[in-house]
Amino acid sequence: MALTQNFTATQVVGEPSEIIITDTSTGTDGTVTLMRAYLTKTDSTTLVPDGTATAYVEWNYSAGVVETIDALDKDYCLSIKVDWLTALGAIVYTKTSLVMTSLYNEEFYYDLTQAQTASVTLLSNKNYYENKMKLRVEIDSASQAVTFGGDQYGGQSCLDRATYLRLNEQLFH
Amino acid sequence: MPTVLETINIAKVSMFLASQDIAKAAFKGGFPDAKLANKLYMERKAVEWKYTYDSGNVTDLTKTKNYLFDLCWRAAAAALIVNEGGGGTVIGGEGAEIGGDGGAFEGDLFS
Repeated sequence: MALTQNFTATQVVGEPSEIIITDTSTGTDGTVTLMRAYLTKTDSTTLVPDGTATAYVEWNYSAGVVETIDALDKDYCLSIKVDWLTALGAIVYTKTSLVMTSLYNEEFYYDLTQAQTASVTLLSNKNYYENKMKLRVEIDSASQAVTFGGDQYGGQSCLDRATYLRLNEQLFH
Repeated sequence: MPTVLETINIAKVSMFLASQDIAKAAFKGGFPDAKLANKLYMERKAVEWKYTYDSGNVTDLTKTKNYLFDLCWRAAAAALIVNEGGGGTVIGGEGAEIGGDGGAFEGDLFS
């Protein structure tokens, strides 16, 4: 019986540098022994953990296998290509999905809300309100670019603007 | 106090009520906070995100949930609409704002 290849890419709150690839394929194929993932950015380069010599991350296959890849230094819209391979490295199945990671910016956004609970007048500050709204709009827009438009470049542009707001907190918040 | 999920739903309806009242107040001398509907959207999204992805952290969520609830405009009316199952009657009766011409957060209101 052949494999119907599939995977999910998720994140866990508190670990924004990690992306978790889970095999969700159905069926079986005894020839498949390896999985390989390419996390491709908009500039066509790939993300891999520090110390990885290849442009991809590879791990042993078993049904439902979970692989955590610690390679994100900010939020990305990634084209994730996963291959299912034989022991000799021949690709048997492949699947590509556009995935948006947003934990760096979403966690920062929530931190702002937490800060407001201690200082309820913060949101009345025009500069603070407008910049927080910009951050919200950029995150939402990135999500829409990916979900509705399948637009990696548009989504990444939004995330980069959100990241700029996050990394320059002293100027904007 | 309502639960986190109840507060999120109340905030969604409250945002709609606030935007309605802001629009009406334009003819009656202004609304106390013209940005309230936007603020409700912003803060509700933060609480909803935390609730969806990290609801185990109850202490955190309780503070931000209470903060969101405090922001809610006409919270009692919003809660009543939520408890009556989404408030189709109220929204239908109010006319076109939520219909075809697309308020800023129309798609998010009951999503």
